[in-house]
Amino acid sequence: MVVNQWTESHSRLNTFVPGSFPLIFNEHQYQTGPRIEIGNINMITNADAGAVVSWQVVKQCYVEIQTDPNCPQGGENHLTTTAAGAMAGDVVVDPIVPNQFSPLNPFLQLADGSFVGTFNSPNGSAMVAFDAFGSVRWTLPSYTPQMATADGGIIASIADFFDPGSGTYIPGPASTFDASGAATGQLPIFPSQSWTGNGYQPGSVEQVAFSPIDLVTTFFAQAGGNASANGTAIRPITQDVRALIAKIAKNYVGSQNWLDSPYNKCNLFVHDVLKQAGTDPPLSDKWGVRRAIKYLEGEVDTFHYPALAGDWANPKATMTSWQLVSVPQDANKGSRPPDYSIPGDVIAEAIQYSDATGHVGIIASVGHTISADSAVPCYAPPAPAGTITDSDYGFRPDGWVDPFTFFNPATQQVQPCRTHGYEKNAVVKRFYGQ
Amino acid sequence: MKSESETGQLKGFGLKRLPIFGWLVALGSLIVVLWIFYPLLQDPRCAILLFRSIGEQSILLPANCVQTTQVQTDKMTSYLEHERKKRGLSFRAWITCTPTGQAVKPVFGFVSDSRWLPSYVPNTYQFRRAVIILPYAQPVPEGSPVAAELCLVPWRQYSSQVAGQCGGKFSVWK
Repeated sequence: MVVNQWTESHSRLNTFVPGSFPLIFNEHQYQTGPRIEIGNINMITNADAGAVVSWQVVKQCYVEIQTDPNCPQGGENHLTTTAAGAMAGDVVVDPIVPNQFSPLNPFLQLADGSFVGTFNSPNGSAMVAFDAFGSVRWTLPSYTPQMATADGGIIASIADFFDPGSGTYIPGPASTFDASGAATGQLPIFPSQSWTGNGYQPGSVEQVAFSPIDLVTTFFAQAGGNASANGTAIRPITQDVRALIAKIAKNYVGSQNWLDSPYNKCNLFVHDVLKQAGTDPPLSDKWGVRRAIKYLEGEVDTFHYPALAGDWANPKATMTSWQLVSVPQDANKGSRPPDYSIPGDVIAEAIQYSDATGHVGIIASVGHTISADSAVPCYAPPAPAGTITDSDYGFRPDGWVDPFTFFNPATQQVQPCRTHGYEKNAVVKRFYGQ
Repeated sequence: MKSESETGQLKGFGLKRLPIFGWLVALGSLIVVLWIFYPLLQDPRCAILLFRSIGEQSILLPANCVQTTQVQTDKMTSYLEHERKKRGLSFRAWITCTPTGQAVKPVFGFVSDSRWLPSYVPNTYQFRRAVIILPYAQPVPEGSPVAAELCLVPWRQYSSQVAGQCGGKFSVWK
């Protein structure tokens, strides 16, 4: 790659000091044209598309006698992209502020493929968002980007500071920013992260040990990237896993593998789909002798029962890698968790049945819940109870009345087939990695 | 003809073996009881519920309805029997009703009784071991005097069902 061309000559002249004994040398160096130095190389990789490398070329005119009065002292900040092992492009990025002494240093990759990083100047370090062509979108002094979130936002922190009281360095507060760099809030503690297994294999994913942080599906969603610690950049795959859950569930519509007899199995359907998607489905605290015997015989794979509908519908239940979906504080009045659901979420309702704790299903898309449906013999006969259906369970507005009815001899009245599944009673949980 | 000594031996055999046999029966019974009620051993609060589940449950029926075990087989009985067997329940009785000329039709009292908990499969209600199955799947067979089927949950299934929740949702059954 030829970025620019210079000519430099460098010579050394040694002269004797007249009359000195022993002889004393004087050394004089001469330079024509700048000396070139390359440094400040920063790179983040993108396992699909290659890498983005930021680097700096500095033209130094520092020898004693510069013979070229117009020696072009200064430097150039470069942003080079590679693809398929070759250079795909290189741009010279103009300084953002006067006397900027570092190139753009990419830390994170955002959902649209652009980057967030830092640069240094006499005024200190600043956070900067830019694209692969070096076009700067915004800057924010003092912050260092840490995580890119799926909504286009960023979690960033201020540098650690020294606390004279404790004599230790205290981590700087972490704040959240939207895609335009506007601050949206603060985090009480900085999210801790850990990773297990092969990052490319669904079900073996990274963990963010903090209430829901949805990492963007790019390589280098975290500062420092390379979450797998195996030398290869990986991509957070929680979104892929969610999409897979929704896809698997949808493919089972019409299946009669989870019929209600001899007992209802809506939670088993959810359990089986989550397992097929490569995750470790959450379990209930409950176990029984029959379950234990089946476990010992190898008929079932867990000692405890799969999480019951009541577990899924319990906002306080610990569901390992599943977190409660809540309504954002700035949401429109009357909004409910199902309004913020995405494909692959699990939706549940606690109901006081004699032989069950409620109902649970998987969201294929907003307004579409895939579940083992016990009401289907009433509204879509002759399908038997427990047939997997695509319904609006959990999304039904207040006042919704099922248009399908049946005559109930117990009440001597025509009644709606379905009387549950209202949005106001729904609890939504989302996979956030394990 | 048996000698006296032989008779004595026979008597001795009976006297010696009978207590062992009795112990074996007792032990076997204990194992069966433990197997049935093991789930409840984890939750002592279930003792009262278990005790109260021994007797028959009174079912409030309209004046024109009765419990009977003798009915003519028809589509309704076949439907209800299919539902009962699917759930592994024991037959107890049919609930039959005769038509009334009243404008306001009588309704089953258990529908508004909070102790009769609805089942996951709609239009089935349970109070302790008693389960009433009413038709739900379409089309509902018409023209039958049978309105519902009364069933019982087997003890083993029942103890598994209530275990751990006797102080919770099943406290209404105490």
